[in-house]
Amino acid sequence: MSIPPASNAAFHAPLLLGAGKGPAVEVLDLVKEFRVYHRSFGSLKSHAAALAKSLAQREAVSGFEVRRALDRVSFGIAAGEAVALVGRNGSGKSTLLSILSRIYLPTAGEARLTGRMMSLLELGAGFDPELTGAQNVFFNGVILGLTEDDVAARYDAILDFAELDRQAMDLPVRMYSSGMQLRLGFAIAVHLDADLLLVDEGLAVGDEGFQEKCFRKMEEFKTQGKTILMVTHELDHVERLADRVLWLDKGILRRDGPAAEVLEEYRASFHHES
Amino acid sequence: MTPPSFPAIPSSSPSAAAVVIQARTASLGLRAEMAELWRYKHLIRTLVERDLRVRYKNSVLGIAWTMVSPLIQVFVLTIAIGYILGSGPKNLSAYIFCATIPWTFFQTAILDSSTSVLAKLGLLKKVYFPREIPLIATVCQNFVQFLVSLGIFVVYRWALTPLLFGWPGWPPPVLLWLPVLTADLFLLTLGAAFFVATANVFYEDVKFIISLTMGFLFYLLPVIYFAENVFYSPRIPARFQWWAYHLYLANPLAWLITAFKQVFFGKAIISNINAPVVYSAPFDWRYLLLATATSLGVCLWGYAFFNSHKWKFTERP
Repeated sequence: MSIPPASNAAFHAPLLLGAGKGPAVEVLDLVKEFRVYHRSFGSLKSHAAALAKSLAQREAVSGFEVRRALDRVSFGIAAGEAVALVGRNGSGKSTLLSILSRIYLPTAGEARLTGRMMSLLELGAGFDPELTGAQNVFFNGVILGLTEDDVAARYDAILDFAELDRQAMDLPVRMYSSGMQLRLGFAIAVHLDADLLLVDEGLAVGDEGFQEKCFRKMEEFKTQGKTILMVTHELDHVERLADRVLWLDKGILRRDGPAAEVLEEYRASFHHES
Repeated sequence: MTPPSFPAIPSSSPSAAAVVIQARTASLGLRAEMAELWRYKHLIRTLVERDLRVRYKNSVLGIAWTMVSPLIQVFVLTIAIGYILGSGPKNLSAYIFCATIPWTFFQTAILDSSTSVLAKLGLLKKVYFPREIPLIATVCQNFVQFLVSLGIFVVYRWALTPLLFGWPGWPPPVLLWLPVLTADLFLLTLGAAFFVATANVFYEDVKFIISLTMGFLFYLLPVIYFAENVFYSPRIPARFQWWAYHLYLANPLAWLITAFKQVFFGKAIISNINAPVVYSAPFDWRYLLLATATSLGVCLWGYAFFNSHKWKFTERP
C-alpha cells in the first residue's frame, strides 16, 4: 500500500467516473495547518508572562507549534455520487468537512463546491432551549439559509418527518428529550432542498426506528441524484450508502476508490496494526 | 423521484451558488462581504426578534425594562446634581433624559456586542453564516430599544410635561436632522462594536477594559452637563477655551449627544438658576458633516478590521 502522491492527475481522474453532470466538489492540494498552543490562551496576562519569560531566557518562545491536519488532499466528487470519508480519530476527516462547510479557511489549496450545499456538522445546532419547538424550527431554518416563508412552506412536512405532534411544538425545546431534539434537527436538515449534503456522523440519531428512517431518507436523496459526502465510523452505513470511499490517514489521502475495495484495505489495516 | 410538495427555494438564497474556498489572508473586499451579508438579511431580523423575545420572555414588564434603568439614572442624577449639589439649569432632568438616550444605546450596544461573537462561537463552528451577523443583530436589538426610549422621551416631554408643568414649546426646525443623527450614532456604535468584539474573541480582557472605560466615559461626555460648559469653564485659561471646546466636540459621540439636546430643545438656558444667563450653542451643520464622516469612517474601518480577523475566530485555541 503506497500513499498516492497528491497531484493534479488525482484531482481530475475521479471526475471522469461521474454521471456526466459535472463535478459537485473539487478539492485541489488542500492543506490545513493548526497552531497548537503550549500555554493557556486568551488573556493579555499570559502574553505578558510569555514575553517576560522569553526576555529572561534570551530566546524566542514562539508559544505554539504548527500541526498539519490535512496534507495536500485532492479529490473530486461528481454530482450524484455518494462518497464516504473514513479514517482513524484525528486523521483530518472532520477538518476536511469543516473546511468544505466554510468553518475554517484552508492554509493552502482550493476547494470548489457547486450547487446548494447543506452541511450537517451537528443536528439542531443553534437550537435555543428557551424558545418553543416551532420558533426553533424557523430560527434553525433561517440560520441554515432559508427565509421564513421557505420554512413556513415546509413546516408540516418537517413535523411529519420528525414524528412530533403539534402540541409539543408549543413547548420550549429545553423540555424535549435529546432524541426529540435530534429528530427535529434532522427533519429540518432534510427539508432544505440541498444538492450537496455534507454529513458528519449525522445518521446515528434517535431510536432504531428513526435511524432506519433517516437512512432511507439518505438513500432516497441518493436516488434523487443528490451528492453526499459523509464522515462516519459506522462501516456498515458506508457499505450501504457509499459508492466510493476516501481513506484519510494522518491528514493524507491514503486511498480513493470503490467502496468495497477501500473498506477491505481499511479493515485489514486494523489487524496489521493491532 | 418525487417532486417536493412545497415551493423550491429560489436560487438567490444563501449557499445556492458555486462556492470557491481558498486560502486567503485578507478579506474579500467591502463589496463582496456586504453582498454576502445581504443574502443573510433574514437571519439578522430573526436574531433581533429572537433576542428581544428571549430577553424579556419571563419578565412581567417586558420591553418596559428598557426604560427602567435610564429613568432611575435620570432621577438619581437630577437629585444629585440639581438638588444636592444645587447646580444645573432649569429643566435639568429633561436635558439629562435626552442625553441619556444616545449614551445608553452606545454603552449597552458596545457592552453587549463585546461578547456577542464569542458567545456564538460554538454555533459558528457548526454552521456557516457571515460572522458579523451576531454582532450586527446585537447592535440592531439595542437600536430597537433606543427607538423605544426615544418614543418614551417624546411622550414625556410633549405629553406628560404639558399636563404637569405647562407647555414646553415646540422643538426647533433642526429636529429634521434627527434621522441623520440617529444614523450617525448607529454607524459609530457599529464601527466601535466591530473593534471591541474582534478583540474580545482573542483577548477576553477586552470586555473588562470596555466596562471600565464606559464607567469613566460617561463623565467625559456631555450627559450630565453641556459641551458649552467646557467653553465657560473657569478652570481653563481663556486663550484655550475655544480650542478645548472645539476639540471636545470633534469627538463624534460628544457632538452627537450635544446635537440630540440641540434638536429637541433648541436655544436653551444652560446656566445655573440665578447665575448670569448663558445659552446653548446652536446646531452647527459643520459638526454634522464632521460627525457623519467620522462615523462612516469608523464603521468602514471597523468592518474591514473585523473581516480581516473573522476567519481566525473558529481557530481560536
